[in-house]
Amino acid sequence: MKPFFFGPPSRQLFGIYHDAVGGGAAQGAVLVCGPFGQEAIQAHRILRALATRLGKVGYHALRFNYFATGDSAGECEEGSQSQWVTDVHAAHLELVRLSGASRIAWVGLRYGASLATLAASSIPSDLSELVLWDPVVHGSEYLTELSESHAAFMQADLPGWKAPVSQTEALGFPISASLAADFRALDLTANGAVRARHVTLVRSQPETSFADFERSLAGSGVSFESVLIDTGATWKSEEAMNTFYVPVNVLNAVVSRIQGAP
Amino acid sequence: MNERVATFGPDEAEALIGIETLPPEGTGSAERPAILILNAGVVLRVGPHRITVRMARRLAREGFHVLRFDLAGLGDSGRRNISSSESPNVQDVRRAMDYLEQSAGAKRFVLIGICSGADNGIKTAAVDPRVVGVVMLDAYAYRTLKFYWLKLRSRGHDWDAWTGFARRASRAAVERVRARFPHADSEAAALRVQASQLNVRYIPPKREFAEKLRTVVDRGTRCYIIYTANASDKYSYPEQFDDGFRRFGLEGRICCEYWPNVNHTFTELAMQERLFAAVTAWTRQHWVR
Repeated sequence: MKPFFFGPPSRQLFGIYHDAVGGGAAQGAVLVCGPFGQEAIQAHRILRALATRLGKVGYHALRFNYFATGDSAGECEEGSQSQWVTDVHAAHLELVRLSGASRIAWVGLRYGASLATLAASSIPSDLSELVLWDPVVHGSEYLTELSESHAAFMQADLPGWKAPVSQTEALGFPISASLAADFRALDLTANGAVRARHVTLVRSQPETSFADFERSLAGSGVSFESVLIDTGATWKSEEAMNTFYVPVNVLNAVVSRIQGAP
Repeated sequence: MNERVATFGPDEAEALIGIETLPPEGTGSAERPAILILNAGVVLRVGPHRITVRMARRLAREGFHVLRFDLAGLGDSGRRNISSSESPNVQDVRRAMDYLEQSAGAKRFVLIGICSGADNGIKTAAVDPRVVGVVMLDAYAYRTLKFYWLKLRSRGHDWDAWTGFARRASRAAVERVRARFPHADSEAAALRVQASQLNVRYIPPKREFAEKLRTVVDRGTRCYIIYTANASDKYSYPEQFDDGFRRFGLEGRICCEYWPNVNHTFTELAMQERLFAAVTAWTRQHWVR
């Protein structure tokens, strides 16, 4: 496991590269795109476990932080969707450079899956597999969910808390006006084709529906499958931040999809 | 901001990983201690809501060399092999200080932590004289008689509250007497082991916490404690620390504040700003001339 910074000094991104274990020829390489905000903190352990598992079955993996998130350069207020899509491309190139692999897959979780979908529309060659785990399909709904989760948490955690008039933050992270506009404009059903030989849509909460996104994937002609793996987990809570929770059944499913990718 | 990866520890499998934030050129000073920001619970080194990243950058702008890192088994650090050491977390914090001593020539350190980070900060400070400052956010809290009185007064004629008070007050009195006898130490040690196995926060007897605080303030280490609303079941008025620790000779010797409108992880941005401003002002007051 190698932690490092990459990219230009003023906008350096933090990444952790996991070498495939075993020393033989690697099966390929996997770029891991994490979620936004509070969910990114919660997902850290899960994505580290995923990268470790991928290494054990012969895949190199790169986890990274988008600009203005995690350990990367930039203040929280400076993040934007277009910058983060650019960061996915930069991380992809870094993974290709480090691994030398020609067979590359991406795994995106929550908003990271949305960014991966947007970024996968404009890459030079097809991904072997694109795994979208609980993607944020409609950004406007996501924004509402963040707002509701923030209010619910603060009311429970701080007696007497009063909701602000306008939403400029959610669960500890700023939501600038421009980022809120980015979220509102996000609609994966209108994204068009992605450059991947196969897409796996993973749904870990039975109450969530991706029917319209599935229709749009089918309409784009990409080969895809949609799987439900119930974990009982919630992404939108601050309490979940301080847990050791790792949904092993989802990790197994993701790894097996990548191994079976065309 | 100039930041770099720090990797240290006994070997690759057990390597501890962190990020150093360096002061802008010309603002650093050998007189200033280096600052370590410790994990809060099981949250990785970026902290709840990326608080530690932002705090590290603020403090670096003041001329401090800052390291935020993951204890073994947390974040991106390696696992810890079974150790006979009583407090492996303290061992990790000391390793981080050794690393900065060797790589950057740091001789003195300030430790900052929320909750379990505060616990690890004071535990390390008690055994390592290189620590010259400790910031404890939601440190261990202990009720006082005035705490109970204020609680009861707010409940008016609630009979259940009064009987509950009588029960808790007599239990506390019994515990105070028990704590004076030798077996209390072995009981506390057993509870400490149980708590670490269950990954729950172990609250030591007040006397134990007071002794650690005495040890560090007697040698000149500065301590800054902030209690938030999270501690309100144990801490409810600004002077409570002085009231509770007067008999240990700590009254007026530790900077302690009560922030009842702030939650445990400083969730909202205004709370975070208040925290950054307070910690920056405190470090500046003591170490920036």
